[in-house]
Amino acid sequence: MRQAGIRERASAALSIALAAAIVASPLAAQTPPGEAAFAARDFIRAAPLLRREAAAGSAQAMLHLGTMADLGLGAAQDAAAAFRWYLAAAGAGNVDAQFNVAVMLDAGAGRTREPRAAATWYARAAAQGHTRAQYNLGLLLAAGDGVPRNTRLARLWLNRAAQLLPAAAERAARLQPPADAGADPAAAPELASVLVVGPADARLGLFSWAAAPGAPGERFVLEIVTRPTAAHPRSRDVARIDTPATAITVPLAGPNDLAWRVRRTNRRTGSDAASAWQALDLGPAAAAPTALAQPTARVTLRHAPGDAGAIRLAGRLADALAEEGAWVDVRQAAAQNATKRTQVHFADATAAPLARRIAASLPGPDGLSALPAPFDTAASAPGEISVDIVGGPN
Amino acid sequence: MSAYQIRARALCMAMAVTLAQPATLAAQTAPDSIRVYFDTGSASVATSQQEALDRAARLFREGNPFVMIVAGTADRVGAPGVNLQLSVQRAAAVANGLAARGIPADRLQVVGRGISELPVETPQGVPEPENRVVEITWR
Repeated sequence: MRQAGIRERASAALSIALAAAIVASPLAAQTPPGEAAFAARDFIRAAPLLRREAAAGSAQAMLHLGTMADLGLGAAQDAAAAFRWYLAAAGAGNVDAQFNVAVMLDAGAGRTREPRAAATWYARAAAQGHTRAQYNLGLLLAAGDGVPRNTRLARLWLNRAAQLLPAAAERAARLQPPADAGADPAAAPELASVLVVGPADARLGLFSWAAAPGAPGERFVLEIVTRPTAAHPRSRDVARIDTPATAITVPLAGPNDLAWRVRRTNRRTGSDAASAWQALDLGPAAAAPTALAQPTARVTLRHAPGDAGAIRLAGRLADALAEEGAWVDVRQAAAQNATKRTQVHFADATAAPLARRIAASLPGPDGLSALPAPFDTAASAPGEISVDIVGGPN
Repeated sequence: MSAYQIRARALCMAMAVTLAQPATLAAQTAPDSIRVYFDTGSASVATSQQEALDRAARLFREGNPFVMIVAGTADRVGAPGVNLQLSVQRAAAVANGLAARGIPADRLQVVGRGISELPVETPQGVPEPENRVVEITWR
């Protein structure tokens, strides 16, 4: 008994020494045992180790388990299990797995073909620079398979892949010029979706959408704002990104309660169509996205630093507007940018009535009136109002 | 071969069929091979066949140890030696097309079968379009 105890302790000490030796070797320190067994093609030994590593959150282990089920390595081939592991790895941020999910949805491997979902997963991988995903997304867009047929966007994604894939350059060159028939510049972007991946301190939002063909010169603007909540009633701009593409990655470091939408804008035609605002919860208990109450307007109130009267007035006005269902931000203008007089600007006709009401409510020596702002797709969106406040009640 | 051996072999085959069934069922909608056809004597991929390469590239998943097997054959017109060379050239042309679509070269297994294992068995000298083919499979 005693001897057994000693032996146990000795063997435990040996295990620790061995473990230390394994950890000390640079390769072993970087490669978890399941991944190492997989690399050595010892799939029977790899399976339980990988399952443990997957349970601890390793996306790479999930990808390997998916590959094993996909190819029937160490166990019978199982397309459904492969898809589940790929999907888990994809959600954990593995780009190759995101691509594999797209491929299985695209091919209908062991399941019904879902080109629309495939396009979304291709777009997520494509946004992260996965060239084969960019190529395949280009093919779906060129064919109008699962997404609206859009030659401009097909060319954009094929050209992104073309630097590394010669076939993509050839395919882009063979694209027919865009047919204007069916083009609807007034249509808002479709299939807007976001997947948040990465650890809490390095979160990445993979945003993607699709759009019917529009007029030349169109761009997309992704807008991310904080969503007004009881604790934080103001709605601040987090990001406003102008892009010709239909998928981008955005680091999300800020607050948890966000809302986002994507606009299709065209400076030349003046058209501007937005998707609905969607909730984006990053908190630990993030709920499934639910339908979000859309804002009646978006208003930015600016005041100069230290202008106590303006700050008070902006606060009151913000509360009153929020009461009406507007999303309001109160910002301090940089001293050199601060205007000398109170003024109200609105982006377009839809914002004019509210802008006039705001102007009428503000104290102004010479009868304040709201003015249309110069059209700037990147700086302002339809329905937006900006107010500079100078001075206010004591 | 003894009766026992024959029975054992038949049993093995039956088992192989049973084991293969789930995969076959799973692959109902996804093709398990894609064919690229060639003109007589030609080893260049026609524009009409580029789409087949796209389809194949769209099925190939990421992650070791996925392998795409690219196997070329030729019909029984002409000398067997020439046809073997032609089948290798056809397979290489398809492999190049797949590499141009981002399939890593080390994942491609290129096989020239000449006139062995033909999709359609024919007498010597018979032009058979089904045999002027490169078959792409993966595992």
